[in-house]
Amino acid sequence: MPEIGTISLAAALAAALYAAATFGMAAWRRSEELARRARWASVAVAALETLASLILFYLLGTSDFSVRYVAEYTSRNLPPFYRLVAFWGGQAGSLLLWSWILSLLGAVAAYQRFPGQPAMGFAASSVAFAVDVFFLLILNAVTPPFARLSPVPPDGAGLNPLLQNPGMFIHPLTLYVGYVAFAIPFSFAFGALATGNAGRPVWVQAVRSWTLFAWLFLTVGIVYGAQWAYVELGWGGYWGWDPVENASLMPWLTATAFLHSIMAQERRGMYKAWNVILVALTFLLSIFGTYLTRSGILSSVHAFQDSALGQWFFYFLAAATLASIVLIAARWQQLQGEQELESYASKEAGFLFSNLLLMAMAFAVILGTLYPLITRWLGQGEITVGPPFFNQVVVPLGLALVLLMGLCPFLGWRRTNGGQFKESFLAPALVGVVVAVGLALAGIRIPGALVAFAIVAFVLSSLAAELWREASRQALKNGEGVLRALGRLLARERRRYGGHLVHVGVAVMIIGMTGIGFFQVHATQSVQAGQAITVGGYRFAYNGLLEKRQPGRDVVMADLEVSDRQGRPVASLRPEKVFYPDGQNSTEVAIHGNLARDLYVILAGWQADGTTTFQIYVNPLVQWMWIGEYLLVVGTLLALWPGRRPRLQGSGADGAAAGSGGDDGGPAPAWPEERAEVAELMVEARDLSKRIGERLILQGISLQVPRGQFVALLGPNGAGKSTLLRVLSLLSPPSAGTLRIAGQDPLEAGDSLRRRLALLSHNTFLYGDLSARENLYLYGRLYGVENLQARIVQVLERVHLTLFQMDPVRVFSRGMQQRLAIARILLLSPDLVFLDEPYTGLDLEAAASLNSILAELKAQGKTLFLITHSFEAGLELADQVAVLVRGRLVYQAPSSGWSVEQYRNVYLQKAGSVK
Amino acid sequence: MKISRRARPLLGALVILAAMAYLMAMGVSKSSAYYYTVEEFLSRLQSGNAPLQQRLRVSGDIVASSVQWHPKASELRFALGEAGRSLPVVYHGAQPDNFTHATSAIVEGRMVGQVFVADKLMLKCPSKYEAAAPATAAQQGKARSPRSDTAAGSGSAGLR
Repeated sequence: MPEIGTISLAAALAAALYAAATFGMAAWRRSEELARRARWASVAVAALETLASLILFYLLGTSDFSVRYVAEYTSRNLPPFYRLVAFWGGQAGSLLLWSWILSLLGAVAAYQRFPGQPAMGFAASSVAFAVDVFFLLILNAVTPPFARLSPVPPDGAGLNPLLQNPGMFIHPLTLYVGYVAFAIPFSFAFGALATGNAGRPVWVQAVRSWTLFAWLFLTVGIVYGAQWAYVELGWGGYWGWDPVENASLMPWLTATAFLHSIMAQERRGMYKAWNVILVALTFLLSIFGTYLTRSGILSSVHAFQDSALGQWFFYFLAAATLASIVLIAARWQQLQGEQELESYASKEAGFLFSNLLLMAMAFAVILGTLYPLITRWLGQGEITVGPPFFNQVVVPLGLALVLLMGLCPFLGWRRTNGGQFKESFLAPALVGVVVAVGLALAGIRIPGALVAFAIVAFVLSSLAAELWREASRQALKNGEGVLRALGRLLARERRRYGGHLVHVGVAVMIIGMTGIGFFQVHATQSVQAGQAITVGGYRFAYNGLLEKRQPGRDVVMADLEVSDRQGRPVASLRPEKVFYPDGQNSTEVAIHGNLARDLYVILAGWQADGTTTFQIYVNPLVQWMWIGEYLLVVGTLLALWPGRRPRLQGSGADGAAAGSGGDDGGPAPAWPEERAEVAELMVEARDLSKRIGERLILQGISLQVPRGQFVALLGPNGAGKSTLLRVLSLLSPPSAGTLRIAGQDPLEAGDSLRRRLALLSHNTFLYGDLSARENLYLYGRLYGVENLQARIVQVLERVHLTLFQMDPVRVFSRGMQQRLAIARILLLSPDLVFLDEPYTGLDLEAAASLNSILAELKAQGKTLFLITHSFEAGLELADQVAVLVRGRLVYQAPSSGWSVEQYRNVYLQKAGSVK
Repeated sequence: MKISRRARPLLGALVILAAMAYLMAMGVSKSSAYYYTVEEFLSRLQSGNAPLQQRLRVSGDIVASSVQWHPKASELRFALGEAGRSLPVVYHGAQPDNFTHATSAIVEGRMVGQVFVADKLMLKCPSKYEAAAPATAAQQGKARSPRSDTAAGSGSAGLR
């Protein structure tokens, strides 16, 4: 069995090498064929590593002590659950877990498609599997998890009792997934840089959702770890600024910075270089953290010295860092921002400040952690800094950051309206001041705590006020109740309010941190049974020791009755000491908690004469930290949750990234909910005719097209196809008959209906003297497009006109003009699109990209009419076909799934027979 | 005074940097400690060039025969080093779990006369587990306490 594990790890290494190389080649040659093979290899890597991991689980579960790892980390008397969890209790197993998770995530990423930029995905997958190759090399050469032990011992060494805790299951796992998942955005950064896509929207979408995913896990890992430390480890605190803890905080800080500054890139094309650097830095720091904690270069209380492994990590880290620097430098030109910062009172500037603060915190954490190394290198000897250093630096920066959270909802993109800002800022600021004054009057005199509580009050009220204001606005606009509007707003703007909920969670966590940080009361005292200890107004009466024998362990517990100042009973607490047969022991803290405070009692020891020593803490407000943690998780999930019908973005990336809310306020023209309320028929024509001069161009046209249908309109030249489209798109009124669009009479509906239509015709209606960008800007403004600048960047990207965006349109070729007109459709995102021979003038590549755009529009539920003479392009999307001959509809039928042959036959039959 | 548009972000960054530098300098002066092994520290004591005015952090083996625990006073006395050449340590606080099993420790505090007065005590346990972890204890409640397990502490187990 272990041999199969060894073999599958070796095979996984080979497959990962193949996947990395083949994806690299696929990116180089832009070959979908090679990529297909590489994808299979990536699945093979994931499958082989899954097999190896299952085997390790099996060996641990069946206590096969012929395997060194099993013998070192488990024993016969270990409960089955902990035998399995011992998988990540030691070095080799945890590295296998790293590699396993990476292979699974890598395989998922390998199947992500990036229409228009497939090479970026290939290159990214190549990097992801190159990283996995590194871990597989270690697993094969340095710490093989399936190494044999001879002679086979009768029993294993067992798992450290302290790791025997349910938290051991979830905490390392979440932390690992967080660390490992950062490899994916890093790969995308590399892939984008290598294929020249850095800074493009397609990259932004891919990286943002992966980073958010990784961030969620890392956050839960860190906070859950803090909670676990608090509840299980029994030292009265939750965070000790230990190098190992700091190692997880460093990438968290840079990833948090990234998640904010990426929004400025998404909307306004700013901070491109910085965002790439942050992505790279986040991954490098997670590797660096692993290196620090495994190599033993820091004289920490955690001395896991394994210098061989440390070296591997060091070289990997050095290579990855160097490669990042070189690639970023090589693509520096491409990473130039598209916009300048216009005002320091704007969202962009807010992100800039939040980044500065987060980076300052990261810098302080790194400096403090490495301080002994730096001073040794400077010849000063090893000097360590303790928690006061970190608290001194990080706490004020953190509070400034939280303050910024309260300001952010009032800031607008580009610049902030001063009057509005003051108006919306005043009330929350007042709440903050009132809270601080109130607390001061109530007797709290610690300035730090007053400031912290004031900031928390400000942030919470400012976020609540913003939500309420927005909901009232919507309610007024739609004539509905505020609560209903609130519900719809939250459902719709998930990304935005998910982000706000994360901020609420952080603010709530600050309540807990402030409580325990400033108001913790503590006593260590030795008493006899019958005596009592008084701490923080609570009386802990000690009644004596009890003993309980359980299989595999002996438990000694102390019985304490707690009463408050008035003598009312509060709780009975039984802190324990647990003794294991091997002579180890551990301490179980007793906690009685409510929202106001935790009573936290440790049984420190006892003497033969019955003197028993307790450490007692009263920790105010600490539970708010865990409540904040849950809010934060819910908020992140809300932001990650894919939109039902994402609005068009620059790429086909997932909806979570695409469904960006209207941070500027004011919703886009048509929301899914509203769409559902209008009639299902998008186009309803009855007996339409059109006379131009003496000639009857159209006669007796009746047509019903449900929403979301794709109609192919065929017919010989001069049949009246273009005229029909002009009539249907309200450019030209019918001479007789009735027409309803989206259930409305065009004459009554007016402009609001026109905004939902677009026609792409022989006449592009572009302005020759304006540049491509200006044309789009003009139309965007006319149609009231939100986030116009960022959307323009995206759509230009989509039709590959970015390079020519500043050129006047009159110098454009026919094909380029056509592409710009297509970009305009994407920009205006109409519900009903009429395309009159859109393939005119397009080269093969542009035609292919138009195909994918049409597919995307259709997937978004748009209704499309397509006139074409080419049977090759576009027809595969059609749901129904109509043939127009001499102004009459001679044929109309559902046609989904038709072959080109079928279309050709129908056309020849219907159009040919009339001729 | 009019500051040019370009200079403003620079000025802002400078202000933040200055504030940070100040905070960090304060932090360092409050909490920095010189780190020595007990052998190194003893020879520095002998030659008279140990920074006795500073906070110190010393690691070394516990001399098993030297351990005395006075529960009434919550006072733990032991020596670091080897019999004959050792540093006497006094620590006020609960005796950590597994202290009797521990072979080596890190103490943080100051020299008072001939005795090292520790306010922080961190243990490394002689464990058959590779995963076994150092335990720490502290008097202040801000630092780790009587559990043989910081390795299982937040973040750490996940990193192994």
